[in-house]
Amino acid sequence: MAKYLLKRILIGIVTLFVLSSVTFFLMKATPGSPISSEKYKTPEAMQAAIEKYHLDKPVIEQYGIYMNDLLHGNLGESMVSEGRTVAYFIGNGFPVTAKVGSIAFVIALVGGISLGTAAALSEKKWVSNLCMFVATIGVSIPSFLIAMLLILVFGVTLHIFPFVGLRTPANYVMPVIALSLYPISMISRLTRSSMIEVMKQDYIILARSKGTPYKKVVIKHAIKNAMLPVVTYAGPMFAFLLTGSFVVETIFSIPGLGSTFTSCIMNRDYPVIMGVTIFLGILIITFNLITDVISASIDPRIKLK
Amino acid sequence: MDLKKDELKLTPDLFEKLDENEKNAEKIAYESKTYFQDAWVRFKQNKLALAGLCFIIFMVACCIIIPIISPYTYDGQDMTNSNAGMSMAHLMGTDKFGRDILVRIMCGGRISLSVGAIAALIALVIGIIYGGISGYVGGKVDMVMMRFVDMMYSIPDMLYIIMIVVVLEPSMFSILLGISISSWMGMARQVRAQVMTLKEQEFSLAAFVLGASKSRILFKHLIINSMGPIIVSVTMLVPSAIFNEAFLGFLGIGLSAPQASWGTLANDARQIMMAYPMQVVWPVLAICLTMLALNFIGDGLGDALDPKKK
Amino acid sequence: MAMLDIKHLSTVFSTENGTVQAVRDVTLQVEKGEILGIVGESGSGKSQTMYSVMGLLASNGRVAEGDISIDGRDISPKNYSKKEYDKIMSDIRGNEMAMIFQDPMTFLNPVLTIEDQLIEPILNHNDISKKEASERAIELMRKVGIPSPEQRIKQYPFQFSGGMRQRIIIAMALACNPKVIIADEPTTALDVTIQAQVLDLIANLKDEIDSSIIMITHDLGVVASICDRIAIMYGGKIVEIGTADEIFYEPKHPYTKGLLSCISNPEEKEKKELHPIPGSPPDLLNIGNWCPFVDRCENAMKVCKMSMPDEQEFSKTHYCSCWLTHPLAKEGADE
Repeated sequence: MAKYLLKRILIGIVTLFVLSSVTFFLMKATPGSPISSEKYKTPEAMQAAIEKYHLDKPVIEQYGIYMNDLLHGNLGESMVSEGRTVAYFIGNGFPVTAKVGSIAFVIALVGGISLGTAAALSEKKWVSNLCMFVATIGVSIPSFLIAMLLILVFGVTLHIFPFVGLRTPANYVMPVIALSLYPISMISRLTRSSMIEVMKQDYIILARSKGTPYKKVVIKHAIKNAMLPVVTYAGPMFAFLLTGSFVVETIFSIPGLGSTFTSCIMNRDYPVIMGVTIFLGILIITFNLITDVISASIDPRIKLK
Repeated sequence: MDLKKDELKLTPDLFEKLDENEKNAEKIAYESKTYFQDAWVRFKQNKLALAGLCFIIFMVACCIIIPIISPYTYDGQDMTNSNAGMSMAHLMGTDKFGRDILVRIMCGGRISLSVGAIAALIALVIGIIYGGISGYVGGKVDMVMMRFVDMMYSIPDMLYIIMIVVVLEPSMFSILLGISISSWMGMARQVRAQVMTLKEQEFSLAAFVLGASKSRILFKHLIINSMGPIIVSVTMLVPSAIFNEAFLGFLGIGLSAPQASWGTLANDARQIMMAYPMQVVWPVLAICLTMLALNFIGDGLGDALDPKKK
Repeated sequence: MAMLDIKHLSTVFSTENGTVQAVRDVTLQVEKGEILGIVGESGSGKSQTMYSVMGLLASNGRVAEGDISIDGRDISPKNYSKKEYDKIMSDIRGNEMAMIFQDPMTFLNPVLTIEDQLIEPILNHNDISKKEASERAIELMRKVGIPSPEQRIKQYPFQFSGGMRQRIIIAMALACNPKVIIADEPTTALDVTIQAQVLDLIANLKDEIDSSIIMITHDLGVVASICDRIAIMYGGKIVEIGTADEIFYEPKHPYTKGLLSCISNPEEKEKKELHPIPGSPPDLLNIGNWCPFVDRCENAMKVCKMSMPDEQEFSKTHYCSCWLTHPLAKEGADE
């Protein structure tokens, strides 16, 4: 297990290194200087800014400085909002995003697994068909359109839920629905197909031949096996939800990491884009790691390979 | 000749030897159909998938024909008639510049659908080449190549797309590049897995023994044999490419005005959603129905092309 | 009174292409302490007969007709509601009747320890604590010849070899001293050297707990060594049944004869030519109601393609269904 973990962590670090390098060089490849003459009135101020962001040095040296800062946990400073560090943006946005994301995650997991299991095991064909029809709709419609439809119907027309900011609990309803509909559908599809596959396995027949009642066969023998693909999907999905949907946050005016990222793209605020990207990368890699550990604890064959 | 016992009168002549040609020991029980004929039969039985296919054909036809026959153009402004509701002249009304929404949606459909199709094709080509080589060569090369894919995979695709589009400035080219770069990994993994399994099977060994060259085996035997699952993933790539493109348009880094895809149309309409909700409904409907139809087709194909379902 | 009594059992599967009659009017008795072999090609319905008895058919299969009883207790699906039947069967399975399966690689749950899986039948049918069940499980593992069971019981199936896994499956079947053990090709997936060991193990353990065994196989060689009686199945029907001696020395059905001429015997002095049976087994989808073997039979007669032959008695234990043994048939056509 230790060896397996070490290997996964090592791969994670390499991934992070590649991600930050690629981000860095992509930003450097952008045509035009990020220091525009409109913002810095005097040539002196502009010169100072150029020196501050090390733009006068060769790219390789800039890369070295950047990586060194990164190693020390320094993500740099915004180029647009004077004096604000990237860490400040993350510190402000992440808790908000994490709150909405966690709620959506729990709903997606519980809803998706129960819907998928019901669809797989129900003897009534219409139950299965209905679940899968709903799931296909959920997979097909992009979250930003769902968000807009929700606002249109429940916000603008019916005035049931507020849709700006996160002041009251009622504010959470629509963003959480918009965020969780896709993962619910995805998880229920995954659960259904893997449950059906598992119930056809020989070891289910053996378990039944031992006189174990059907319900217990499902709980003890099928669910654990059927959950493997779901876990593999759910880990990265949680990371995505935590990092915030760029658009759902923008639409509902939620001051989270996603909307920060979106506005930074609009403003071409490179240090923040890079910093947030790397932060997201770390989060995702961590969750991939957690997923691997959970999968290994479910399936003994993984860790001992 | 299926007789009940008591109806049958046993006479000695019944106990004469049965003629050889009355036996049918080697008869083939099932009508033999090719793989694709068989898949088509099963696909047709899936009503949702068939409806999806019809819808996509209809949508493509509309996108091609309507802008040609309509008296309006996608950028023809008419400020005297802005934000008009539905009427015989403008079936879906007009936008804030008085442009005909129907024509704009169909022109947007041309862009969105072709982005979807082209991006899926690029991802397919990269995926087949990369995955094919990785799976066929195997060993260390395979390990390094697959580690790279794992790495790319663990970064959210939206990040690449946004960064590439921002860096290269929004254009058809940069959007296509961004979407293709983010979507070939799944395909590569799948092709590799298929190639790996097929490589072990007897027929590829047989082809090798018969003197087929290595690359010939790779492309002719292996790729053709793994066609089914690959077709399904391509079908699924189209809606995700459309989704990504719409998403970029929505973020405001899509194609620049007056050109518009479904995503940019939705975003433009969102800003005046309070006053004119119907303007949002049209592009949203176009995207949703198209994605739904493509997903149904993908599911249907997945069932139809799965040889285990026979 | 027979331990297991099957009367006129028919099982059908509904498929996309139509209804498959996998088991057609099978009648079979198994006496206490006896080993019965059921022999047939794949697709002859031999496994499905036993899956029907155990109530383990795949979801598209069902028992269409027939009565089944074990030790006098009725377990025919048609006599109960689904719920009642499930309840009765969870009591019967693993307790009165247990099954040993073909492929030890796929029949053990990969994510549960051997202990989890082995104590399951014990806990299902006995009112004892988990700890006692574990002790019994270790005892069982020792009985089936697994070295150091105390350590191995905590391991997972993938840490066992094929032969060892098959021993675990046998241990599970024996856990509650069942009255009837159904062994579905228990040696097919094993190495030849392991096969004999496993067969010996089954035979020895059977004597110890005094149960009846039904041995399903496609290999006449396997049944020859341990079975008391043998039933030959073809096309979903039992075409011949008799004691091992009767089947081997006085076969009546042309299919049985065909099977016997496919066995090579290394002890025979003269080199014997092996005669494969031409053709392939019948398609059980929409099969006609006449002798299923007619298309592959050398001596097939007109009547064979018109009607199903009746069962004829040759001795108290030996029965065969074939028109060739009918008095009107020309004596041994061209034998």
